[in-house]
Amino acid sequence: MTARRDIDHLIATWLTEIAPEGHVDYLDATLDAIGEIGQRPPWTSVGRWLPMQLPLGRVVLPRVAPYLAVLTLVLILAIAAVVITGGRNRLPAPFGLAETGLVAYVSDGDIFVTTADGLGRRRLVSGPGAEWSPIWSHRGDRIAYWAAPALGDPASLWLADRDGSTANLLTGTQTFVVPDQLPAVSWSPDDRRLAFTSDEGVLYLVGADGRDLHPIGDDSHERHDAVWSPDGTLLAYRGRPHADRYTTMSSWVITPDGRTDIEVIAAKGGQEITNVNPSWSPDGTSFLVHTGMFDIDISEGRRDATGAWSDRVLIGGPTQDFHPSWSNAGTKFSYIELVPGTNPEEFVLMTANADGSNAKQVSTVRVGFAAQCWSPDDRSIRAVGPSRIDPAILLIPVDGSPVVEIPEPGQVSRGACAMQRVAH
Amino acid sequence: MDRDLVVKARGGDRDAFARLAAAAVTSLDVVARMIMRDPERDKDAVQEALARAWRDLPTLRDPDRFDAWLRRVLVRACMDEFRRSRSRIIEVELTELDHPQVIDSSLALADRDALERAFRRLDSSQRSLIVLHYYLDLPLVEVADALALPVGTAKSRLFRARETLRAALEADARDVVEIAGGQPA
Repeated sequence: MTARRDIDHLIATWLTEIAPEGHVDYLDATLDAIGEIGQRPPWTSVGRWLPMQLPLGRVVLPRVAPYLAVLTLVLILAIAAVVITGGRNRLPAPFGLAETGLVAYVSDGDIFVTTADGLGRRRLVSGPGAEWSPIWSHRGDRIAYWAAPALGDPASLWLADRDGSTANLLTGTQTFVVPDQLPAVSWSPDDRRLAFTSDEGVLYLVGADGRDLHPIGDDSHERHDAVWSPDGTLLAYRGRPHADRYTTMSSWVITPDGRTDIEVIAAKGGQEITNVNPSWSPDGTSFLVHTGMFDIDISEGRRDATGAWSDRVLIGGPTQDFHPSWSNAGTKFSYIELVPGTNPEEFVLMTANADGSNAKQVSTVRVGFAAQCWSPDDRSIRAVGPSRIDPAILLIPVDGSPVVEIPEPGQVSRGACAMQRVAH
Repeated sequence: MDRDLVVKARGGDRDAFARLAAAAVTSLDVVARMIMRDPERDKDAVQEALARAWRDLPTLRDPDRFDAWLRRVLVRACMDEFRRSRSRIIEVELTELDHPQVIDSSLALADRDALERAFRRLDSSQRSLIVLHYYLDLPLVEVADALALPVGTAKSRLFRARETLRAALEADARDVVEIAGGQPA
């Protein structure tokens, strides 16, 4: 009977029998078409965007000297954070320090948390399958994450309390194919709703209570990597035409009701990984992305008092600049710049004034290809180390003080540290 | 695979890339046809894969990994093409390629049809897993690499795809028994 036969042999035999004769008559035409296409610089590899999968379960304890330095820094910044969060000048969401002060990360299919010094590592969420993309709410009292039988399977969005308890399913019976790299969710500033985009490029909103799950926007193009503006009136995202053969990306903003959808920064052709992970200014009038293909620039989309959008290049020229990140005060932004001739490519951390002037290197320390985030008092910037073998978090003071290196346990999150509310 | 050609192509040498493409395109086409099961879409996927390969070749760090890398690019292109066409109504053209005349088949006609129908119900990821593992005979580690999946995920997805095909064969066998004997097996 068929059921008892060797299924593996049957499949292999069937495939061998249906294998077509190899005859290709379109190679010349294909090569002619390719003649119109340029090559990408090596540092634009998509792989550099993905969180690194390390051998998991390794707990790295900090060395003594950095540990003491971190403790001191943590104490100082904790005091500063209390002053900031308790005073009149409390930073508006989504900026500022989460109440938990914890960094969430994925290890071995579960979600762990640790303090920024790498201590207190503990498992927060564990399930039979895979959980990934943990994103704290702005208040830090809840954490959203995706779960599926296995990484890459259609997934469900869950929401748990800060201690991992009371996990609620937000997406009901619906499942979605979502990125397994961060960020895969963005909280609204009031923590009442969440936005996410599916692999097919559909932008969804869902209430934090699990109600009113619905897509927004028409079917004119794909939407990816949506990020709420600080005032909650817009979501910035990376747009991509359905029919685009070369995955050209542009920056868009859309209102949460989906009625207004505006292309702010047009694609410049052929970019696959630009216009991603937009960084909103604290006042919500501007967002930054990196754009271009060969000479990567830092571009700004800005809206005026009438709501009209315009865009301009803030950091141009022959350098290759990536991952802009607004400071909490909105007076400066940081980014990373490729060091020419390095292989593997390395980067240095730069800052500039809000208008792009006074661009300068913050430290001679090399950093890795990843987004940065500023400490709540804007005195230091969190970057990642350049090594993919021994990943580390780097706390780089903007005043030139010594850099603190924290070996990072588990998995490096290179794409969305601003979402992680990294506590210093 | 000629390592020197890969290095030259990576450095922007179009002639070198053309030679690499000429050497690889037949096998790419065969794999794409088996995954897509549609002659027009498989051609689009191969062309897209070659265009991406040329564009992204400078990002390939290890020239010795060219073959595996190209396979990964192809699978990705197939899956994208599959996804793009998913919302369209596809009128499948049953050509010679889809149903070749197998004279000395070791499979029963019913088994072939059952496998074909079940295979078409698989998603692009599962089809890719089946073709890479059972036709190209790649080990699971390389299959996972081609699909950019963790090995465990690739293993579980392959298991499910295999079970789908097995269930189709079993259902087909039950139908045959019912028709022949008037009673379920």
